[in-house]
This record gives sequence, C-alpha cells and structure tokens, in this order.
Amino acid sequence: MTIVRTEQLTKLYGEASQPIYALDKVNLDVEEGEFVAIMGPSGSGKSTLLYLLGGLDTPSSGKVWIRDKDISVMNDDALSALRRESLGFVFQFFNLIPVLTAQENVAMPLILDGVPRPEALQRANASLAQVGMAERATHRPSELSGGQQQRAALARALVTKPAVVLADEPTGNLDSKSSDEVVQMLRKAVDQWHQTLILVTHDPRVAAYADRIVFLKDGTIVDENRLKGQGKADQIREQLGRVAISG
Amino acid sequence: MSVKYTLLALLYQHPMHGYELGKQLNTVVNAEWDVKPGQIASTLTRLKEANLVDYEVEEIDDAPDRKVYCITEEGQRELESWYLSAEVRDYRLGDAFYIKFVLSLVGGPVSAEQVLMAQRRELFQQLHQVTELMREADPQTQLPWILLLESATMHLEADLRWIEMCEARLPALKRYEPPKPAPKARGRPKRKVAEGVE
Repeated sequence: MTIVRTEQLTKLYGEASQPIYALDKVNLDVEEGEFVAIMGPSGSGKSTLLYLLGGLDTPSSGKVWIRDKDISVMNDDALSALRRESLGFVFQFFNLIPVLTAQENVAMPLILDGVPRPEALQRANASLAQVGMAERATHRPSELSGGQQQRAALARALVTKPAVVLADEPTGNLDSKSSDEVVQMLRKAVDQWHQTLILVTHDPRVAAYADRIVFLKDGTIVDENRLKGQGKADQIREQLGRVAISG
Repeated sequence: MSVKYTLLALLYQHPMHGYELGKQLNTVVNAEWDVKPGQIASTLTRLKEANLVDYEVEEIDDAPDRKVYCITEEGQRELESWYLSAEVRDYRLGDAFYIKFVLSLVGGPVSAEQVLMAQRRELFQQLHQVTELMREADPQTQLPWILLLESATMHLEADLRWIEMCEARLPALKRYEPPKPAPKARGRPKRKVAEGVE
C-alpha cells in the first residue's frame, strides 16, 4: 500500500522573473513499511523534499499525500496536528530539550497530544527500551554520547507510532561506529515494526541499509535504485572467498 | 593470500598432520574459506621438496600410518619474511570501469551519466548485500568473516565516493580537451621550429 505520494511536487525560490527550482515536478511513491534513502549532491533538493513531505515547508505547486490526506492544502493547525499524529522526525543535531531527561524528551510528543503524564512516561520507557536505551532513561542529553542522544531522538520519533519517520542526515553528526548503531536501529524499526522510513543522507554506507535509493539532482529524480531482493549474497561470499585464496 | 604461508603459519604453532591442518585452517582463517584436502596435500608435498617443512611418520594401530608435519628452520625464516613484507592492493581492478567511463566521454551510444549510474547501481546493491551479511554475522563466532565484510564495505564505499567525484567533475570533463601532441616535424627542419618557437 502506498503511504506517501507526491505528484508534480515543485518548490520555487527567488523572484518570479528568475525562479530557482529547488524541486521540479517530483513524483515519488513510498510503500508502507519501506525504507527509502534520498541522496544527491548539495543543493539537489533532497532536504527540501523531506521538509515538504513533513509539512514543514509548503510547495509552490504539486501535491503531497500522507496516507489518504492531501497535506498540500492543509492550514497550519491541520498540519501541526498531522505532524504530531502521523509523522516522526529525526534531525542531524538531535534537537532534544537539554533540561529534560531522555524519558521526558521521548514522552513530550505524547504529552503534547494529551496523553496523561504517567502513561506517556511509561510508553516513553518502552520506546527507549526498543532502541537499547532503557538504562539511560533518567539521563539528560548532556550526559549522553552523540549516538545515545540520536537514539533517544529516534525513540521520540517512534513513540507515537507514526505513519512515517522522516530523517534528515541522522548520522551526519556522528562518528562511524555511532552512525552504524543508529542506522541499524532505524533498519530494525523497519524490519520488526514495519515502520515506513524516509531518510536523507550523503553517506553511502547509511544509504546502503535502505530498500531503495532515490537520487536527486537539480531538483529532479535522476535515478532510482532498488537494493532489496537483488540476491547478490552468493556472489559476494564467493568473491570474498576467492580474494582470500588467490590474491 | 596463499595456502602455502597459511600452512607454514599453522605449523609454526605446533606439528600437525594433514587432516588437522585442514580443520585448523577453516577455524583460524575463515569459515567461508573452502580449501580442498587435495590442495593441502599437494601444497605440503611442495613445501617438503623446498625443505620448508619436514615430517615424521606416526604409526597407529588398526589405521594407516600418517605423516605429522613440522616447520623447518628455513620454513621459519620464510614465514618471518612473509609476515614482514607488505601486501600491495591491486588498484588495476578498477581499470575496466575507468576505461568504460573515459570512452563514454568521447561520445557513444550511451552517455557518461548513464555509465556512472549503471556502475553506482551495482555498487550500491553489493554494499546493501554486504551490509545484510554483516547483520547476519555473529561477532561471537564469526569475527574473521566480519573483518572481511568490513573490508568489502569500505572498499565499496570508496568506489562509490569516487563515482560521486566523477559525477561532480563531469561538466569539466566534458569541456576538457587533451593537449594536442606536438606535430612531428617533416622534412628538413626550419630553423625557427627547431628552436622551439611557435
């Protein structure tokens, strides 16, 4: 089932006489439970696309559907309700509230949504446990490593069981070991809980975890690469074995 | 990596017979590394001829005698110099794609962009698969295999970054004109040309 869909999605910047196309008539379908990575050089429009999908920015023309709702016609109130109920965000710089504990940070979207505090905290704990952070629940962000902060941010994105998680360079501020841990958690969310995930990255190792990579250039999709189910395991086993023997 | 030095390295630990060597080889080096018993036997014969190993015959009741191999002093020296010599990676492996790419730049039925795209697709599919194999691997029992997968990951990553670099250089590459070879002087050289004045 298609859960995210864009139709001729376009974003213009600058004067009407000399428009700059950040996105130019992009059509993208994302299936439920799919992990899609968006790649492309700086200025290719990948972050713009993610922000439009998340209702954090408004399109110049074209449509965005999340589930069956056309979000491109929503007003601010409707958009913020949609973001609270249906979307989870993970950013490069974690965006945790420094004076709150990990648990309180994770509980925040639920509390804003009217869930009673004890229940919100309990669900926050469960979400932290899912990302291997159960023992860090009472720590403040400053007491956590970068990788742990990002896992807390991921727990916060997952706690509302959103239709889609949108991640903007979630490993951009992490060393390669923490980066691997975070992207493995993201992959686990897709595999175990059927989470739909759209992630912007410039890191090939992170993108390689995805089911599909969409490449943007100058605001248009220039290539799509389906990674899932290509069945190259035997080829790789054999290659690595052969390298070991001959060389 | 050759079977020869692997056997020498294992025999350096303690003397072993052929079967035991085969078992050790698969556990120490890598479970995925499938070396046939025949290959071990023939390598041992060659090592014995080169005086790098020696053997004693062990007599066993109710079974054929078997040879227990040990490393010689000469073998130890050979092993030592092998350990200390650096292994150089063969960068020519990338040649096939490089040639394809630069040829596509001079014009052909397929654009340079498409050539890069096709290569990038394959590299990403391989990297995805290596990532999957890595997630399936058990660090408790398959650490050497994980090392090999990590090496594959990093080489694929480097290849992908190079593709990205090629893509970024495409506009410049398309404008690029190789320096023209200086025309060969024909006949009797004129004085000015001979002095290198154009």
